[in-house]
Amino acid sequence: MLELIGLNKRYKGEAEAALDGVHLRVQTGEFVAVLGRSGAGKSTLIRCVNRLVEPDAGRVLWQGRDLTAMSAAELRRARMRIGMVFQHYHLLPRLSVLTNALAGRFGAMPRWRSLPGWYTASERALAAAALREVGLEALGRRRVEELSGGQKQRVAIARVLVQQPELLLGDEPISSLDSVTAARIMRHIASLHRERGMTVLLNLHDVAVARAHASRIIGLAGGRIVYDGSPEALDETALARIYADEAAPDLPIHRRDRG
Amino acid sequence: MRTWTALGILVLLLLWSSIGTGLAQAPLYDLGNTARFIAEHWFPPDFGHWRIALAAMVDTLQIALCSTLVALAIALPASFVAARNTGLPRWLYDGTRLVFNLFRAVPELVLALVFIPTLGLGPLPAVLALIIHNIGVFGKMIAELIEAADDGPQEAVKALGGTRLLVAAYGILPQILPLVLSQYFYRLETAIRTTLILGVVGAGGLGQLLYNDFKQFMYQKVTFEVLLIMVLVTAVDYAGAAVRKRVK
Repeated sequence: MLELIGLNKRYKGEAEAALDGVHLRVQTGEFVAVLGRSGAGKSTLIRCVNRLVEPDAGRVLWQGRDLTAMSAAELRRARMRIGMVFQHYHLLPRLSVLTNALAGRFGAMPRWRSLPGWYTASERALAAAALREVGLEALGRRRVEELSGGQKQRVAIARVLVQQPELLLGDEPISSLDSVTAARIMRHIASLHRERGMTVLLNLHDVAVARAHASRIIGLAGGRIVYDGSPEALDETALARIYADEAAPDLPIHRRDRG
Repeated sequence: MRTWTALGILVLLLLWSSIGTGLAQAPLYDLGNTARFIAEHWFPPDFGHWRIALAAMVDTLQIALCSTLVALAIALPASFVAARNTGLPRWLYDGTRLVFNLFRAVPELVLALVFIPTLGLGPLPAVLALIIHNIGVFGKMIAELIEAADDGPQEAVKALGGTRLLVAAYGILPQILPLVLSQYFYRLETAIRTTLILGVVGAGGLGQLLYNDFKQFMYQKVTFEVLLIMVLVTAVDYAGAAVRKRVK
């Protein structure tokens, strides 16, 4: 189980808090989508879970252990079991598709092997199988810069498959993709949840995509949770709360999302 | 109005500096003298000592190569300490930056003059002087490249449970490598020219040969040596371009 307790985060020079006392409990095996306007705190929330962003206050409990109280070495071990996909893919530049998939083993390998990139036959087989699963087995030797956006995100999914985490975090994983490619990536993420039993927590811009895949939806506005419920219960009133534009209250943003 | 003021200030600065250096008075000199001197004494080049000259050229290349490679090998890891975004303690960052600044501030000629009395004449003082100066240059330059590197791959390695060393090796190094190589070849070219100057104070190589021949008025030999310098610098430039083309 993942539990966020009273998370607060305010970035330097910002008047508003990015996260303002967020409490959230995610059960093992849940698929949780976080919705909210740009600047609502979605990315900060996701990044506080694996401490890519350090919260100012509050705790993150993962499988009963406090991630926020961990030493650097303990945190690295915990991160091994938490996968992440990013909006801009964050692949390792100038390296091959295969090397990027193999990077999923970084946390699990001894240092003397990870630094020079000495992988065992079983690790290579794992990476090859992951690339096959995302349909990129023929492109293993290609440099990642030569791939399209959708292919890059599939490499990132392959990296997660090689990492074999128990929790998958996603920071807008389909925002930079066209709708067809986005649907394909979401199918991959859904299969990680369904077939591999990963708990999924990802933020999305698209309400329809969240409704289609998530078992639970969290709505964030101004760094606070303003909706927590099932996709079915996400009605107009809830959407208005999540997407309400303080500057133009008559033009709720959610109407654009549904269009 | 401000543009005209700025332009006026620039013209005044140019006039002030060119009068001070004698450039403004250059038309008063008979520059034809120089042309006649070169035509009469420097040509045709004397290739008679080609073995000695070629050996000196190889010495020059070895001094430049050895010093820049050693400097790069030391500065590359040290520059990660001198970059603000690698998350190391502030005193380490400040200390390494200070060392880089001090190394860079002292010209190679001064460093060579410091080493010559204790180590004697020959390439070693030049190599040490070039290593120290280039550690400062490479260190500052690479630290700035590291600070400007994209956060994304670094975040990815961190999120995978990677150590700081892995973040540097896989999240930063591949991004900056082409720029480091490009700077390396530029510094190698500069080191070749500096080695020629250090030859004047006894560091060996083509510089020393050229200076000795010049003092003995053997200008035709000097012409051949200048040609060799041009060949060497051009060859390094082409080699650099070829390597840069491969490492994109």
